Amino acid sequence: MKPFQIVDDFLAALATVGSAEGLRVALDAAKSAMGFDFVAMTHHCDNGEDRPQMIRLHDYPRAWEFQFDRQRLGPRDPVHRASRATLLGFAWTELGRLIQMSAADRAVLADARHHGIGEGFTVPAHVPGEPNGSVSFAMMAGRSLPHDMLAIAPLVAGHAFECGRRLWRMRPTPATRPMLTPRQRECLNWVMRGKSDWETSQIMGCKPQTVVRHIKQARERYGVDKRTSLLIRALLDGTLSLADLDAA
Amino acid sequence: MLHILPFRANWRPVPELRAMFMARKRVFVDLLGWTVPVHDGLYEIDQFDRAGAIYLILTDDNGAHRASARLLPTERAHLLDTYFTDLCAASPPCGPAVREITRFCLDRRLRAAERRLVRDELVKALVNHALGHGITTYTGVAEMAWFQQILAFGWQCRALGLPREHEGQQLAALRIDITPDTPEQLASAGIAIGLEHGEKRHAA
Repeated sequence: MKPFQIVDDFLAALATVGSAEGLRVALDAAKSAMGFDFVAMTHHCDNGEDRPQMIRLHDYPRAWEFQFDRQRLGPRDPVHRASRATLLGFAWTELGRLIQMSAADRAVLADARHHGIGEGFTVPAHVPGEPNGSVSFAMMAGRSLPHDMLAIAPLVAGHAFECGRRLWRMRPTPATRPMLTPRQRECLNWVMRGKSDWETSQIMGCKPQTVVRHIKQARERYGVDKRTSLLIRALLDGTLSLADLDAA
Repeated sequence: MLHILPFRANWRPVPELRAMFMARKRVFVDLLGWTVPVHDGLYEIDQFDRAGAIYLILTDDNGAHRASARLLPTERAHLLDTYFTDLCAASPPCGPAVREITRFCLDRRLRAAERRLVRDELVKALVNHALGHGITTYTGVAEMAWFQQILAFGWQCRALGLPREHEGQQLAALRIDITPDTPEQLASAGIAIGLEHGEKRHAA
């Protein structure tokens, strides 16, 4: 089949999908048409816990899934880590270009091969304010990637992930998303840049207590107890940006 | 404030157009390093900026540029059928109900949190403009790096062909279909936030 026809067929199938099971069936058909043996779509988190909002769909061998969860690989799997270092698809043979590979990382790949999973191609799926994710297409150990299909893999992956987001209802409604006032955000921005409350108060021309109050109220808006938690949440949902840090 | 303006040969006295061409130079030439023509060392204007082009420009209360996009008619030469024909599996959609979105530009001075709000506002403005002007389809070229985010707007969007590398970047031609359902699709993807701002349609 011509590669682009596979995208057309996949989109036509997605148009009627209303459940995770339907998405699994459509993705499985696309995977097979492309000539891959496995497909895995997931958020990068510790699936050892039961978190219904996290996307996860795959057809890897059960024994590998069990091992993956038991070792809590979700956040530290080398493929997942590499996909946080890029926005474009990559073959697993390129991992060393994207992240520093430790002996433990090589052991993960060897272990996957032991479970029958060989080469792979992963497409990162990043949407601001949401956990990072990816869609991986993989081969049984000993088979090589269908190179003529790598150009459409990001399209199939992108639409699959977007369909997953819709089914899993990822995005909070605007009303439930915390919003900071400009002053609260400005205070937090200085916290991120490592300024003390006193320094922030000097920069902003107010009293230190005022800075403390702004930060406290910002914490309350996010419903978190610690400044660190507040900072992380605000970075994740785009209220703050690492680009602002670079501008310091 | 949203301004909807047509190109005019004498654009210099029009503050919104002048600010937009300057912002485009700062983004596309200074930041992204595109090789596109620059006028007077200040303004990024190419051969597609001519009569028939329409601009959606968001400004702040002081009239400063926040974001803008250029809409080109597709019944004559535009980017997709000139520079990026290889990105389309078939000939690109064109006709009176099809516009090409180019130069989607968020001002460099915006902070992170503002960028997302302004981006959403511009997306909403594009959809409203389409619904008000009988436009059923937008086309455009995007970096694959942003594909997931463009899909996440919730609208009906798909690639027109295989992504390919152009000058070191993976690009894809996209088609976005706008229907009366699109505003609701944007809303359920979270793009309904922010107050409705004023709109000013300038005479052609």
